[in-house]
Amino acid sequence: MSRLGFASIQRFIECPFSTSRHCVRSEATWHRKVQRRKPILRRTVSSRFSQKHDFGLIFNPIYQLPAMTQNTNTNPWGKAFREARTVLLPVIVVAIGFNLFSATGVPWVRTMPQGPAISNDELFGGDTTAAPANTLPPTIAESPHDTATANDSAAAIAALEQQRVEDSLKAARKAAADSIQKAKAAEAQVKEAENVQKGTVKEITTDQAKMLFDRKKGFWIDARPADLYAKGHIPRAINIFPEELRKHINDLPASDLNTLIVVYCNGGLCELSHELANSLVAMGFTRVVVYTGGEAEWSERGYPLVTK
Amino acid sequence: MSNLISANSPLLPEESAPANTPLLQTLSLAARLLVGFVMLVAGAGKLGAIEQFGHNIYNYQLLPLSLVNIAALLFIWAEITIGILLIVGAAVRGSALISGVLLLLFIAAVLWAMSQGLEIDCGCFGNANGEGGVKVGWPKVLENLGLLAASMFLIYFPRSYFSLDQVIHQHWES
Repeated sequence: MSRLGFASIQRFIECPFSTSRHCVRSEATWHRKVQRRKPILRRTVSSRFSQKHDFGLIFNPIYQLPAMTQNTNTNPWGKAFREARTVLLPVIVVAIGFNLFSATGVPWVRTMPQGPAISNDELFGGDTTAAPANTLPPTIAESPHDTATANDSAAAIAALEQQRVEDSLKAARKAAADSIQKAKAAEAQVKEAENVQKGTVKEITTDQAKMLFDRKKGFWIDARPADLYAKGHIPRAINIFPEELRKHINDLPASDLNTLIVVYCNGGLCELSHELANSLVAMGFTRVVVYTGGEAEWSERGYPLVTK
Repeated sequence: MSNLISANSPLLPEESAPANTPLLQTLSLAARLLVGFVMLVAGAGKLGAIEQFGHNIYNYQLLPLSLVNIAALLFIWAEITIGILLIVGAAVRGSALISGVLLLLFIAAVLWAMSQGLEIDCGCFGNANGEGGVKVGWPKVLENLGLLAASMFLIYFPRSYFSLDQVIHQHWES
């Protein structure tokens, strides 16, 4: 067995995996130390015994282990940290460069995605305005009867006739304007429907959601998984997980496709509600809104939740 | 033999110590390739869907929304770079250290998600095709612990066959 062997064993005993200054000295220092300390052992065992039997082949790999881990006389962690620092710099440069010049770059600061909002008029329009249309035709129809009773002279008839012509002209103009307006509205509706089908379902705020809830309006759907629904959901909401929509088709208000449907999930970046809302729109429901605040904002405000 | 390894031999300070045994070199090579390929596949898989990966990070509820994109970019590019470096065998110790730190972060995040009862996709290998990825759970923790062990091994025994480090080292020696 070589003298180096003893040095290594000594080193292994004194500091097996330590990286302190005392331990990371070179092999030669340890060797000298062993020589100083145990001259008898070194002389007797190391020279006589090992001259006959060379155990180096067996023991070298074992007693060199601690030394191997400390690449000669440097600390492996120190070297690792230095190398890591060198590697991290290009990583940061590449990340920045990629994001600047790539087509799939993302914004540096991410913000909450905002869908199109819905106005209160549009949301609550159904109950506040009670059909203000069709007020014009009856008055036009009534006016000739009222005025036609008192007619003696031709002048009066002529005047009446002129009035009637003017009225009919007005009515015709009005009708024309109305029809144009209606056509425009219909066009806008078609466009809106197209937009909706492309996935831009309108979103409501927590205040709007609470107003709907208080007025007992809307058909509420919780789009989260069943266990989260069971832990707490908005009262009157039913649970439909987007992937299980087929199972729940009978629960939907299919008799009236114009029913206002409010879909929500956890809030934040949860996309289950949008996913479900888009499926519902594709099924033909026309008034689907997403409550983006979701369960998180609802419970934050202390609004009622029920557990199942 | 005593001549060969005398105190003033040039072999002593430099060459006696590093891991040169074939077994250790083979193990080191295996660890290098394992960690390298896993990192490269994980990073490249997420490169096409950075937005989605940011979303996955946000789901852990550990980072504010404004920071998740930057974190996603750094994670992805760190994984890709480490993967390539480990496979070719360059700066093995540094790469192994970074991968170890990343894996520690991943393990901590998965454990945190599990402790909070979050049933979220781990986002480990990206799910660009829109299908559900792997959920967080004990298998993920064990997988990451295995990779962490391999990384630690590489920090102590960076020498292996077919590595760029060795080529450069030999070039300098000659």
